[in-house]
Amino acid sequence: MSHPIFYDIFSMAPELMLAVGSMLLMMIGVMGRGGALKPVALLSVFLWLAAGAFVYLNAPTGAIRVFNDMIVLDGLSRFAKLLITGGSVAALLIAVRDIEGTIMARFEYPVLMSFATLGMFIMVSANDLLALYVGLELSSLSLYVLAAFDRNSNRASEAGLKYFVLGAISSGMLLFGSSLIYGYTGTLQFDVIKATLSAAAVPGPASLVVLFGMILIISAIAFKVSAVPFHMWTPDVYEGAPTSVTAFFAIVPKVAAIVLLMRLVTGPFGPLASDMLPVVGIIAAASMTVGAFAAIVQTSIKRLLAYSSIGNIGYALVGIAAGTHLGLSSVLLYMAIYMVMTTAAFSVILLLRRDGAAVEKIADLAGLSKTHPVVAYALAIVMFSMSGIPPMAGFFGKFAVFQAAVAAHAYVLAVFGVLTSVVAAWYYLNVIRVMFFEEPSEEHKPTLHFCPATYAVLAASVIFLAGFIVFPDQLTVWTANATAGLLN
Amino acid sequence: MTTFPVLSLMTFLPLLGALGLLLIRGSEETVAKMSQRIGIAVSLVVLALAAWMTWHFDGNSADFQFVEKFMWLPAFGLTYHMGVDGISVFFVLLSALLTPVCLLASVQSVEKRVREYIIAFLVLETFMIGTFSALDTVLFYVLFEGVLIPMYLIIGVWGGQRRIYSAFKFFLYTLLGSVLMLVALMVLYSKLGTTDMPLLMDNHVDADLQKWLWLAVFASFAVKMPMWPVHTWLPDAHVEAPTGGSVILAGVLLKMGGYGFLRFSLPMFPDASMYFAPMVFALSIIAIIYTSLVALVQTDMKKMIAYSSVAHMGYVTLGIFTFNRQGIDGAIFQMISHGLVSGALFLIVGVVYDRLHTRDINRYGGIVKNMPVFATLFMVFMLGSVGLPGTSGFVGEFLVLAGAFQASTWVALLAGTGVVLGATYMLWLYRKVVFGPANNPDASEMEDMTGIEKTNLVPLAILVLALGVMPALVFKSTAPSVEKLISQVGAIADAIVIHPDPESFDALIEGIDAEVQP
Repeated sequence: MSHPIFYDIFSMAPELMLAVGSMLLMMIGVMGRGGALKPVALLSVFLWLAAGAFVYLNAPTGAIRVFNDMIVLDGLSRFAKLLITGGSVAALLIAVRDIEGTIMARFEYPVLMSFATLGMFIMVSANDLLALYVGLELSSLSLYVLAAFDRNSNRASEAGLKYFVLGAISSGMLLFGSSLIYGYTGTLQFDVIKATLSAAAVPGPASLVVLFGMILIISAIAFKVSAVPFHMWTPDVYEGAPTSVTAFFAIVPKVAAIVLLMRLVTGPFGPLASDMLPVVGIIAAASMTVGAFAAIVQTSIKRLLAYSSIGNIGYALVGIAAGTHLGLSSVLLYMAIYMVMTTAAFSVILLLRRDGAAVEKIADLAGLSKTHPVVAYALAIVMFSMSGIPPMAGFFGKFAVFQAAVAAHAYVLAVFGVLTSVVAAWYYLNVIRVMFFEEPSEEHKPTLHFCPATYAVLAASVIFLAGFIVFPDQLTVWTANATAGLLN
Repeated sequence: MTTFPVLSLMTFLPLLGALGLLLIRGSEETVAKMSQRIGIAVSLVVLALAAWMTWHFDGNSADFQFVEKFMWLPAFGLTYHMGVDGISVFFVLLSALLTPVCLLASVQSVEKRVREYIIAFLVLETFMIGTFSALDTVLFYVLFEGVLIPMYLIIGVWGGQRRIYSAFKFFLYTLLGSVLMLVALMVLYSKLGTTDMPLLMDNHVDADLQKWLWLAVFASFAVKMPMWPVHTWLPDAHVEAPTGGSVILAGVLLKMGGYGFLRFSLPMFPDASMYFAPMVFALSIIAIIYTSLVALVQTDMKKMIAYSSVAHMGYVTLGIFTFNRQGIDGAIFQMISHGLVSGALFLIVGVVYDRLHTRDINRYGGIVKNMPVFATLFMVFMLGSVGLPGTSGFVGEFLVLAGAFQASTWVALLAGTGVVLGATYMLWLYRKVVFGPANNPDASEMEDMTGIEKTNLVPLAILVLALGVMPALVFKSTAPSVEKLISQVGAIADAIVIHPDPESFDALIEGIDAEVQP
């Protein structure tokens, strides 16, 4: 508050860079007319990397609050922004070759991703319900448009519309919840809400208002992370949206929304932990269950990954429900590993083409280990990792959140989690079965797209997943530091 | 002792070899040949290292030897802690011994995707040796569970008709048991603040919690063992797996269950182990009698040997939970012996299967005339499985029964019937396949064993006979570790003896006796 204004501006440099840069890119795109996709995409990558580099270099000591405490810069926001940067870069790198030569090969694609990234940067730094709303809407609106980006496809338009309508409902819930919180505390600023709530021994009817507001806000976030019971849109949108867009949806926004939830749970709603953590725990258990059982019957890879992401969010929420520092740092670890797994899975899907589009059916992968062994083994590693089988990285993510749950005496949640992960293992193994145990059929034979950028992303992800066991330490140190001051 | 990191070397050398195989280029045939040679060479080096380690193992010490310890994941207290004691050293040796045997057996029987097959076995060897040498609970879990990946692929890619069903059943059954153990290990860490196994053996949680944790750990090892009634994955997996897969499965993977009981259940949860011992006895006896009877009616050779494995593992669990010297010694010996004998029996089945492509017992008969060498070797292993004195099978079963007698006469009596039943079905199998009328012309035309098959089986036969005559080869190294294990459990046992006499071993036995008898 006492900072001079240019200090505030300097602290927000990554966001400002993204905002100004995105608009510049839009102008460059307009001037370049057609064929501007590649240069704009390349410039976007550099823009995001520059923003990410600034975030990395400008490491805050403790938590810095700027712009009248609307924005907070701390270890958590820094770690989340680095993840978002990495995820966006990876998602764009694997997308470009996929949209080339289609109706989607337009410069708006990377620009929209850029705005979405900016929105997520603001989300993870929000320290005020209004800043939260602005960031969330900016990213959501960009995502709605991206979902319907394949204009000639009915499925994509339907996905975009569905996403928009349901997203609008969740925004409404967020606003309604915020207004209730404002009505009780008289402020939108997180720190003041926290102080008010912890000071007041919240009395009867008023406490109901606060609880109601909190539940509405958490529901809105649950919608964004596609946690049960707000997950209905996920399979349809994942399936309908163009595959490269689905990849972006799966890789990045969930990280931002989970981080936002972590901030809400530890910040403004921290004093209500005893009411709130059971709610998160129930959502986690429901997500794990739905993610495990509903995926079994899927035949589409994208729907499979949609349910898998619902389940994965459930596991991440276990860490939040633990309500401890270990839990929170485990969530970050889990999300980082989840992001890499999803990136790798979508890289493989985008590499494999059938009839001029990315593969859609699990059956299309039949006999992949014979026709394209390298990607088959890569996908097998990803699948083993997703099912949490050691020695892959996915095991350590699950281990971390369950260990946190056990340490917080949430035994039921931990047992529930490991049991659903056994159920989930079935469909991950099923993908491996199709690739390895079945013979390739002539009509389903996919071809391989040659795309060095996608290969590079895939190689890096798979090496991370398989090699994590050798040096698991560094990432846990980072996540522990990133979440260090949150619970105070 | 030495500081040479022999355990890590043995663990990771196969993995390096597997990665090296990926680099081979050339036609399919050259790749296959090169992979086989490199794979066998690497596994033989590991075997040499294992032999060196066993030779230099100090049999007079109960401590962990060849220890390596580094920080691995400090945030969760995990260490990279490896070491072997008298209990694990022979399992490491057994793993190192059976891997080259499997690879050698595959030279003739595996024709498709040879390189991947070799890679799978080398990766499997990494996990197996690692499992038996890990001294950190999570490291143990990682390696124990990692075994599923190569084994799933081995069954699923190179297996028989119902390979997919069997591969899934194997994987999910084992995983379901294992994740419960993982929760137990997490609870142990959150209560005691360490994942270091030697430390956990000396520090226990309270008796009520022990019971829960014991059950969770039991779920994992009972499935792996496998104990009745969670044994049903084993016949399926055995029947569908390729020969090498069956050998490793019977020879090594089942032993992980018994090893787990010795390493986790007994020393870490002694009170609960006492408490649940009668249940384990009951399950073991059912396994011994019931699965022997089931084996008796099988017409598929592999299935019969698979059921006999369940019965033999029943002796192991029985012996372990007698908590006395004979019982535990017998259980360890039975595991090693069974690893050699049943591994060899699966190779034997593989020999005739490669020729006639059927495992139906009725399709054979009278092959002693055209396959005398085969008949001789088969007899050695068959008698080993029956437990004839002079073979390794006798020592294990006899000691387990002797141990069981001290625990309860009834238990020993019922378990003893299994010996008779075991002889019944194995002799019947041998008579039907090797002797009997030569009704099947194609069976009578089979050629005797090739050089590779002999190279594989003769050393195993020699080992079975040698261990039968000189069991002290094993016992002189296991003794101190078993004594220590008994003292870890016994410290608790003293508490339940009505008139404790810490000096007297007999008093301890009586105490257990009083506890297990209704």
